[in-house]
Amino acid sequence: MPSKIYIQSDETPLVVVPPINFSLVAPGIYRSGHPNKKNFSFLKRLNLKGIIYLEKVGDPYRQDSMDFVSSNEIKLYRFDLSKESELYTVQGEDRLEDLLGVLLDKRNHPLLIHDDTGKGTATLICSLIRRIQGWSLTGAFAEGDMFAGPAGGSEGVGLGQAGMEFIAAFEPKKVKFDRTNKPDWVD
Amino acid sequence: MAKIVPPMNFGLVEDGFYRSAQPSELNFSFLEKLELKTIIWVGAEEPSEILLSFLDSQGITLHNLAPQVSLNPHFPPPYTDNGVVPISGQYHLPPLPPPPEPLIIQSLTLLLRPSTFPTLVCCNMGRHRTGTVVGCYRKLQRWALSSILEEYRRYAGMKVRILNEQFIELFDTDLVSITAEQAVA
Repeated sequence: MPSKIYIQSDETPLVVVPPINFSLVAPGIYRSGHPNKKNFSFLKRLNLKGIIYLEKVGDPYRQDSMDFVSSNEIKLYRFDLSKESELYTVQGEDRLEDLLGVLLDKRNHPLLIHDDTGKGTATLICSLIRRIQGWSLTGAFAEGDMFAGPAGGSEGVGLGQAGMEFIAAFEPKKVKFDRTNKPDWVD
Repeated sequence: MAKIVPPMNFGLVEDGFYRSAQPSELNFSFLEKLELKTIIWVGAEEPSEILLSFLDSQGITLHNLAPQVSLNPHFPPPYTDNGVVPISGQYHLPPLPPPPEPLIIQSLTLLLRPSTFPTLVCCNMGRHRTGTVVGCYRKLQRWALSSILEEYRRYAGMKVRILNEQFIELFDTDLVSITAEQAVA
């Protein structure tokens, strides 16, 4: 059951603006591109507990988003998974494992996962969620293409070959995480 | 682990509110996991026999909005003349009209009732009619038009229908209402 519909209520603004490439991924998990200040009234309604930002850790988080995060007591997690090739390194694997640990603990939900465009890295992580849910590869890729554009990569924003291979080779069973607080959509 | 196969153009609109193309046999084990209570069929054609029997066996209520001529003046679909489908390129076809307004209103009325969920809204391809229903639903949620169309286009792909987008833009949300009892039941 959808949480809320806002009809004829005076407390809500006239229009709300979700961030670009916004979508619900699974109960408690949302995805999008980088939010800006127009999106904050929308994001507030989601009652987020955490935000996972997937771009380079060295870059500062945008100030207006940082203010939003701190004034709403949202926990900001940062995992740099922007380079697909790094997924195949030990550091990359560790980063992904840490990320999945946050993601697969429902005490951290609702969570928003976002990168800058809502296309490449966000799609990679969401495709891994689909693999964990047991989706067929074609189903996961078809969904990814809706966000990243078909055969991605051409603009440098979609999923590249390395990312697709990583998704295909990903073995959900080998993911180590604490199952005591696993979300309902994980078997 | 056996893989589950989502129907084409499957997506989550809200928790317990899904959208897709017409599910086929391949998708049934996927659908079982959604624990659907209802399916809202908004396609211009009738749903397939195999889907109907699946719904029956699962005890899923089908709200079939397609065959009601009062809701759907485009049924049967306008481009089949005595069952003969014109070869593409032979005629210049006018753009397909947007889905009829009563169909959208009836779907949205169902979507305002908690008793409808979990539900799947679907039509043949899950792009245009389903997309228009979801677009109008987003309007009820007061989404900005640009965001609504971004979502519509994500599913419509290369086949965006301007008339549907126009329909969403001009749709009057005041046409949709439910009683207080329905809102809690």
